[in-house]
Amino acid sequence: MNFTSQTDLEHPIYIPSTNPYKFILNVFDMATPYEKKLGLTGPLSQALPTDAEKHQSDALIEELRRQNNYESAADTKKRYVLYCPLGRHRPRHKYELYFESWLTNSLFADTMSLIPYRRSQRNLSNESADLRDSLNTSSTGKVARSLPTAASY
Amino acid sequence: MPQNISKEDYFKWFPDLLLELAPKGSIEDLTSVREAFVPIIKFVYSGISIDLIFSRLKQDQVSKDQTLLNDRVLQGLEEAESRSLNGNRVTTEILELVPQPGPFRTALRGIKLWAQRRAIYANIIGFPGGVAWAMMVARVCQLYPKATSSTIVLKFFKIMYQWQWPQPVLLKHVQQVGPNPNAKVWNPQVG
Repeated sequence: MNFTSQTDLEHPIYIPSTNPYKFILNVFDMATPYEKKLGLTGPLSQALPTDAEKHQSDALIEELRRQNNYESAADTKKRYVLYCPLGRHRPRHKYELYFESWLTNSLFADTMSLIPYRRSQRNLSNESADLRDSLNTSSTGKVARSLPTAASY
Repeated sequence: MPQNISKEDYFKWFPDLLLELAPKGSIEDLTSVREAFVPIIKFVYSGISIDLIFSRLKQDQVSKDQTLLNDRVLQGLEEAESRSLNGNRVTTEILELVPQPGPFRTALRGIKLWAQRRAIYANIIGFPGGVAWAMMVARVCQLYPKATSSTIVLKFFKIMYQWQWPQPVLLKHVQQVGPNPNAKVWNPQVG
């Protein structure tokens, strides 16, 4: 049996390509530029702009500039001055900022850690429970007293 | 802000910190709007009006080149907190969904100027706001991917005049964003 091409066959035979990267190369074909598919429907027109349209765009930009729509160089400079002080690294303030949440969290954690402990002590004798209470109170008070005040910064 | 700084800390400490960090007299009209839909600190710095938004990320540190487009930044945030990230995320995403950012920006400048002159610009008085105008222009850019800014302005009026309102102007499919399954997703049927 002689076949000139696969089209002669009723059921074409799959012949694997000798090039294992064939499919990959098809995807990254350099000849056709990659285009991002954007939007839920396809574009209405892919036409490239004409010279007249380009001139109109220049005129539009010119008009916007005349209407003070673009930021002036002086204003841009002002904005850069703004970024500098706000981005300046001042570690002292970082601790000040952390102070409040640290204070709350540490006191909260201290109180929370006592609750299950107190519960476990419920069945003990009155004497030892009182001792436990007095110890807890003093330890909480100690934590609160040892914290630096905002004025010390 | 890193996760260990709360909204309360921000509003308690940051206004004073700002006043101290900036050169004397450069900050005017500093007001904290705590209870707003998106809580902000408003002030005027050397004549430039600034709205400073507080948002917290579930990270111990926030690097200078932190980007917010990745949905993972929403992980573990409450709805109010993730709302504060909306502005930046939406702007970045619109630019990602536009074929050519240059003509889009110029056309949007033109449209916004026109809308402001006609006094039909501002959400607060029932007209499209900045994001809405940007999305409409972005949709026209998607329909004419190679057009210049002047063509986009022209097509904008043609397309928006014929638009079948209240059909929404969609730049992409509405999707459940972020790992929070309880986050509300906009449903155009409900409005």
